Amino acid sequence: MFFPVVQFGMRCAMCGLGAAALLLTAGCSRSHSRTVAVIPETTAQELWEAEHAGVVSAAMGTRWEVLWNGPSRKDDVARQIELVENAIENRDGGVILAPDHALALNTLVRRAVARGIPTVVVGSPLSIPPNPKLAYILNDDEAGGILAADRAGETLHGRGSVGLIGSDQGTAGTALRAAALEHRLSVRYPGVQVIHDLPDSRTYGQSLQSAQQMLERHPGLDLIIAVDIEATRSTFAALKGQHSSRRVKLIACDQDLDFLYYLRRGEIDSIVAENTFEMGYRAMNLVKAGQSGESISGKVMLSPVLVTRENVDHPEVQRMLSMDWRPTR
Amino acid sequence: MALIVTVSVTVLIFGFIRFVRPSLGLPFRDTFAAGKSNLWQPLGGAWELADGTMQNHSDERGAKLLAGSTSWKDYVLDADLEILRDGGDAGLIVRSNREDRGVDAYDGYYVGLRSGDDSLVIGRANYGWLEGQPVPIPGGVHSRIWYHLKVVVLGCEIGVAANEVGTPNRAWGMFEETDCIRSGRIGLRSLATAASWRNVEVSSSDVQAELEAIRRHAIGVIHPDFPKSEAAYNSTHTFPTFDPQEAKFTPKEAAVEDRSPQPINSLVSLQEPEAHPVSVRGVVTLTSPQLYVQDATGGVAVEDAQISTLGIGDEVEITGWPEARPFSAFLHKAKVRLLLGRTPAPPLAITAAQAATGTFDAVFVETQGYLQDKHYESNNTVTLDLDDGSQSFRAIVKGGPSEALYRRFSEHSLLRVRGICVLDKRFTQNEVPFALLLRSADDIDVLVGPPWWSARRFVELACVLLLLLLMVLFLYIRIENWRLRGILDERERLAIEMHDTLAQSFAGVGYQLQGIRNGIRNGGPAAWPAINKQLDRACEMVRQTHEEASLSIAMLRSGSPEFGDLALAFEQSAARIMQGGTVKVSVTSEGPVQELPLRVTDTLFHIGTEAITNAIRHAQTESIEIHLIYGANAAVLRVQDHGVGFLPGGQVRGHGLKGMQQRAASISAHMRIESAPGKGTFIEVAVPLQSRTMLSELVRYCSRYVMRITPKVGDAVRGNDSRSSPG
Repeated sequence: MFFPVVQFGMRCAMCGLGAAALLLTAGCSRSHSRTVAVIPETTAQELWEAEHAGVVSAAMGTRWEVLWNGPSRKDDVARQIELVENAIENRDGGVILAPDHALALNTLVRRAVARGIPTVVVGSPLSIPPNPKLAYILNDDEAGGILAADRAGETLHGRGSVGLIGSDQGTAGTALRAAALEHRLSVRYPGVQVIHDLPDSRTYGQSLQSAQQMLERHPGLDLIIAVDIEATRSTFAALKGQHSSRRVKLIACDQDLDFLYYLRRGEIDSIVAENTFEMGYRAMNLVKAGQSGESISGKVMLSPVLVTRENVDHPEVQRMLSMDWRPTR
Repeated sequence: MALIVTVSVTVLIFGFIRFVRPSLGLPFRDTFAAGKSNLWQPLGGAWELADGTMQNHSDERGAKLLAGSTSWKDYVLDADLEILRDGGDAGLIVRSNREDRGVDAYDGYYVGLRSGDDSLVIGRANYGWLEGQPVPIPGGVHSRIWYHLKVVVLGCEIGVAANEVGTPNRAWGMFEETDCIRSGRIGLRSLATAASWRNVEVSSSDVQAELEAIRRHAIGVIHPDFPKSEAAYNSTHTFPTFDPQEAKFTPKEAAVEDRSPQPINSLVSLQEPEAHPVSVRGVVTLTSPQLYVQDATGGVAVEDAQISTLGIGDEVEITGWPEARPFSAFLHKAKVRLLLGRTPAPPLAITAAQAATGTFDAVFVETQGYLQDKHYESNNTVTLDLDDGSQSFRAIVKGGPSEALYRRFSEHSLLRVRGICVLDKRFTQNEVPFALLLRSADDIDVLVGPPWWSARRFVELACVLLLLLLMVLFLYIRIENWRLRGILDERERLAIEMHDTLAQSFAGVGYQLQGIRNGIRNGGPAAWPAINKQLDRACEMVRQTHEEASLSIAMLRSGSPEFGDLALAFEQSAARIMQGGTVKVSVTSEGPVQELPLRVTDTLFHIGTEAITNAIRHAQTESIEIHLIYGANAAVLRVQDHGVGFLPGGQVRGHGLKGMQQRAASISAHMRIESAPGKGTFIEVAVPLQSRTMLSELVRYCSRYVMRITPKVGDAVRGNDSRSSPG
């Protein structure tokens, strides 16, 4: 006697499920959100604040909202993964990602692209080839190494000893920089001797120890090139601790606000600065194009700029170091 | 009606929430002194209640602890705060919304004291950061000193008064934003330093007066437009120079012999107590209940160290006397040198089985397990018993911002926990292989809630099923009753019908037969002519009755040609009644012929037949017009003759009008009779039908929607296919 009732109930349930499935499927088209998730390597380095400013500059006057958030330390890959997942889940209109790791974020980026979210990778590359929804705007690390080598060679007039700190950080970017730098010095400045730091100098403490030992073991050292922010900060502390900051020159790679402060005080010779402002600016324009249905496939290499006391206040350099980010709507 | 009910329920629910959570209203005061903080929600950091204060032991950038309601608008927020280590800044959040973990991941305003440039900072966070021109604090901003902050938010203005407690050092700031946030929660926040807060109070009274008092002292009004360039920033801000004269930020040298640091895992291999202290460098992973430090090779517990100035994430150099334990080492009588304030290290993800081997003793790890039990200890410690299927272990949190947070962890939920892995008996009590010392409640994530098939859920499900079963039974019985009632009604109608037709006819035939019998018995041959007439009449009555019965049966049988076709039925009925007469009968219909309910068809047929009979036998008409109208909501029968007519309301016998009216009333039909002597008779019966519009419109709407979205579905499917295809 229950059969007709059960049959009716099942029909209703099937109709409901079918309708729900149709609605869900219909809702799986590409996102029309006007929110772009900007995920830097870390929010702890002003290097990426300029990227934020670049994104905001390109988004100004549009209806796009910029959500800038990232891990509070550089090696927190799990937090970056979580933020990309959030962007996908929220069906954001675009993702601009400066990946902390070359492999760990591949899956998430593939997933974002598969959902039709225009994604631009800035800074360091991933192993996924560009496609209509994925573009790269990268820092030319080799050019950065060459800039640092030329600055060192010219400063030392082709003769002297140069210490290399942070080359063993295990990241592709720093390894490229160090290799290009050494090659350039050996080819163009054969009179310059390169001294390497201790292996496994990954943390600030290890980097600091490495720099301290290098200064102790090589009292005649003329110049140190620190290949990233961590190495620069620890080397600077070691130089100050041994009262060697005026005698031994320091060339930094990647900018942070305190480095520019020390540069202005003459305690850092120069900084090979990544043009993260331009990365952010171009990335935002690509996201806008991708959202309007255009293909954004491509890879662009941006050359870094050597910042010295002489050119730090140049408008082009100041634009590159911009801190002008404000709500876009 | 539904809207009214929904609104009423919503109002009741919100009213109930306000009733049971009065602290969401203003005024608000913390309960840190009582050791409670149930209404605070952490986002990052390592929060702990200690000595009546809320402390964050982490150097994480932008650690937040939030409370209050997003509907709070204009209010005065008072709090004391203490920065625990030089560097970084700490302060208060007002009008906060859309919070997430991250340095500027909220939509609101921040007011803080920054030790880097000894200033009072006011700014706007919107997943980005814009600050006003910093206001210098007389006497500077120093660690281990309590400051009082008063923040007044009114309209789009924020007034701030800051002073060093117990001194005349004061500063005031007025901040204004044009397109401002009008309401939001409050919060505690620190950036790159550990800090303490106490006496947090929020009030909505005297807001205007408090703001005016601050305005009188503040120099100008600042806006969220600074800095815009590196040059502007570095022209006003300073950084640690590490020069000897700048003692504040110079790393403090420990008063120990300068020893070369060694990897932490090398301490485990020490075979006998060292004759000299050793040095290690690493990152602070936990400060309470014990100091733990780790480097890339492992972790170490540190005892007897001065840790009051350390925060989780600090890079330190520790010199102490080592003692090797089975799986890791201890450093005793340790002296700590701070190298750099940093952000806490991420954990190492391992399984519980790996943790149980001791390889990760004293290391900051992350693992997961199902919650078996939880205990609240009297010393404000919470212990969670977990099991991942292969290993049982414990997660221990000392202090924490909110005991209420732990209540949301249901037993048998799958939790992910982060903490220092320890095999120390003090924590495991030899009941589990290892324990995790968590930094705060923020180190617990619920991955999967409790399974639905718990005993309680089964009981709930059984109750629901039982309820549903009872409802179905109730409905079934009601439907059966309705069906039975319908059958009985139909039987009663048929009984009446039979009484009115067959029974009456049989009675008439009976009278005729009785008359014939009496004539044969008593009349003799003289009565034969009369008997013949009576026999003819009886035969005629039997024939008519038979035909009427046959036609009624034909109308009721689904297999007959007349079934459902009233026009055909009327034509045959008219032909039978006329018996070859000359009256012209025309039957027409209008609208799509539709199947009417059986009862309606039967009733209309009898009314029409009665009208035709009356017209032929009594109206002396030459023609009869029968017209049927099939409408969406009604069926109409019209019968028109052009005979002698009659006077409505007059004495009319035998026309069966009363019977027709009764039949019409039985199906809720409206019957109209128009007649006048010499002008014929017009009868109209209009039967309302149940509307099928809603159902048909719903079907049409659904089919239209399916047709509309089908191309989208196809596009989506094709899009997915094309994206997933190689290249």
